Amino acid sequence: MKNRKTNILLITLCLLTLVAIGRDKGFSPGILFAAFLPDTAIRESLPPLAREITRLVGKYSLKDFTLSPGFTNDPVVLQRTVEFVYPVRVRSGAEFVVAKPGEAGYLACDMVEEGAGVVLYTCKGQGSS
Amino acid sequence: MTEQRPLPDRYLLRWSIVLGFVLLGNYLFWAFGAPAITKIGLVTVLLGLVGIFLLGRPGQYLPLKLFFIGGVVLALGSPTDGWDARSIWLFHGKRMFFDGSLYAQLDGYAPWSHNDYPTFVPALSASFALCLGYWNEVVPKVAGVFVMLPALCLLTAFLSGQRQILGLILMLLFLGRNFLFSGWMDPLLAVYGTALVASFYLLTKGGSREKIDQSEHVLLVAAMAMVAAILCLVKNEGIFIILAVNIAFLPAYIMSRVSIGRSVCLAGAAALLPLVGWELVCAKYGIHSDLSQDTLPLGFILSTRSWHDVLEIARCVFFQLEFAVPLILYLYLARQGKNNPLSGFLLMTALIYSLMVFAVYLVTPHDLAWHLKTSVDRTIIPVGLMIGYGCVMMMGRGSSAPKVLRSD
Repeated sequence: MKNRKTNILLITLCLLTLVAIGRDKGFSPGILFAAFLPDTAIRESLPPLAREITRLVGKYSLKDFTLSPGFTNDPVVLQRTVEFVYPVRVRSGAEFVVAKPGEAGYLACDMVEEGAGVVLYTCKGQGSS
Repeated sequence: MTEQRPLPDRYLLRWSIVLGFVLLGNYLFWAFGAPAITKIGLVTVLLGLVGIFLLGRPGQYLPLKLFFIGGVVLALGSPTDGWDARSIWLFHGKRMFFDGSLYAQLDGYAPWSHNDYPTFVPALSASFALCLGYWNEVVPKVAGVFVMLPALCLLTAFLSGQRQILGLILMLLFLGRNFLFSGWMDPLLAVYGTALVASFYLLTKGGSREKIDQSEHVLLVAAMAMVAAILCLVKNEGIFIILAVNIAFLPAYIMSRVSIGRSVCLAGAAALLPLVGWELVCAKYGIHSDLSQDTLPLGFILSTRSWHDVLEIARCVFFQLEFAVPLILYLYLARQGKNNPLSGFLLMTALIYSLMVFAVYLVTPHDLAWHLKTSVDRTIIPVGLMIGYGCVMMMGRGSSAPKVLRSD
């Protein structure tokens, strides 16, 4: 009888801890039921700027691009972007540059598109700083 | 007092060995550049075996099976937002998936992702993605839960009764918490480290001259080799745990003059081969650990580290909840007279490993406050689980500890 009570207590504690882990990690049935789809949980996993950069990279089918210092100085945006856009690579001196709106150093480049908090430039033949 | 050596449940021991070697096979397939179809085939075999394990012996090992299913559900139903989980482990898996090579990360791209780290779990993530046909944000993360299963089977094999298994699961949930099913390697390191300590102790009988059954010996040697091989391929710290186990065994070795045994030595050496292979390839590509590149000379550190730094490291390492709670529970159970040699060996290894963790923070080239803040609650998980497993062993001593071999 005592053993049974102990087991019930342990099971309850295990279940409560599992529920707490699920809540802290943002568990959602929506993600679970879409777990095997290609674009699942992107919104929940990535900062908005990284998602916007990825959208521009995908729209123009870039093979590689340069991130401006305004982004590379922010490790969250830099690392999330590098991870998520792979196999597209982030490297210095690429033809296309992703910068913040109004960021200095890209006057000589042509703007391709301005997104939400992100500008895509082409600096063909002019290089990028 | 005669030692009551817990004897393993052979059914779980065999499952642990089979699943562990399938996982090692997946890694070796990647290491030797096997075609994608063979990796997909092996993952199919793995899924089939796990299915058979979950459905086999209904009603038995229920806490273990439900823990695994719960882990898979949580991993599939939550986003991957942990820093190391994304920037290191899943990123390496993604690189392997797109480049089709275990060595994709050795080109030096994105050096902040620690390109020297071993790729055992990323290899399984990449294989899962191969089965799926594309990379997504949640499915590759489940690899960690699958890798945990063989070591959990081994730890459970040494326990008897649902209460002990529930105790182990609760301890793991308490210690691993948010790192458990979200792509981090530290809980895996803890589970494999503890499994290694337990299997090594039972093989060497803690230095006693007691003979063990030959067939049990063969199974334990295979299990220990599998656990050691995976442990040092999960994360670099695995090698420190192996070192801590050997140091903890030294007193028994010196006092009892009992040799570890040729088969154990050979299996241990063979288990290190995959890691040696990985390190050689890293050296060939000029990829080194940030610690080995930047670690300050010892004399310089001693001159720059203040007593305040040392006390701060000690406070963060030894006064973590993950360390203190299992230790207090251990001392309470020991005071009740429930101590046993295996629990003592686990405690000894845990304390030695915690000193190693302390030493790593002492020589860190990173900002100390930042390094402690971002990692100490993870790095201490193996210490907590080793002590916690010792507590679980004490919970079952006497009434439930098996005295004879349990066979299937």
